[in-house]
Amino acid sequence: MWGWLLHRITGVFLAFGLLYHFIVMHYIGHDNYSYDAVMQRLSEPSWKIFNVFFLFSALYHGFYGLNGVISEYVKGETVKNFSKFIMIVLSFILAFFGLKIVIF
Amino acid sequence: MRYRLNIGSLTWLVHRITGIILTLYLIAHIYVLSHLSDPVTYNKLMDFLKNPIFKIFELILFAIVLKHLFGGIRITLLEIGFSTKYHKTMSYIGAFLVFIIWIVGAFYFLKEAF
Repeated sequence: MWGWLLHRITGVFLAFGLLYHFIVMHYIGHDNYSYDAVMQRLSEPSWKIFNVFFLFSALYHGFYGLNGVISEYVKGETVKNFSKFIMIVLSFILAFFGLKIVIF
Repeated sequence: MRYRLNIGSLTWLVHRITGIILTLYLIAHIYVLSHLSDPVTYNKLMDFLKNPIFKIFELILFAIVLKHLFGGIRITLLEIGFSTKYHKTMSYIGAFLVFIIWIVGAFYFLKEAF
């Protein structure tokens, strides 16, 4: 129940967040993904907060969804638990790499 | 599993496939960006990505994002109480909106590229 609800909530957040992400990266101005512009944004606290939520939402939403898909095609509790385990490990690794970008 | 294809199951299937692609893309996106801590490597990659072939990939990715986004809106609306009578209409409206936004977005993407 809670896993599903969080999937939905992160989905709604991502819908707005991703559009914002696209608009900032591609639609306003011409130089928004030059090295300096990216570093400038990453140093602002408000962007850091947004990015952390954005990162965790994307990881949770993506891997919760992928786990759901996989669990519909494989049989047996062991395989399903293994899939879940892999998803959790992968999202933790990516959270580490992601935080390295958005915080440090 | 076997599916009887109609607009409803097709929307579901597309939502599933785009979701898988986006998660795989997310892995690549985060991994690549985390290795760009100095301007030289960063600019090298950005120059590499200026190749038109990547612009095409970007446009495909943009379409996938939009399709998944509108698929998600449809599912959310159905679950918060919109009548399932309209689920097929919603599929068509969603696909139409994706198309419109994609065309507008593609225009800006390409304007930026050239």
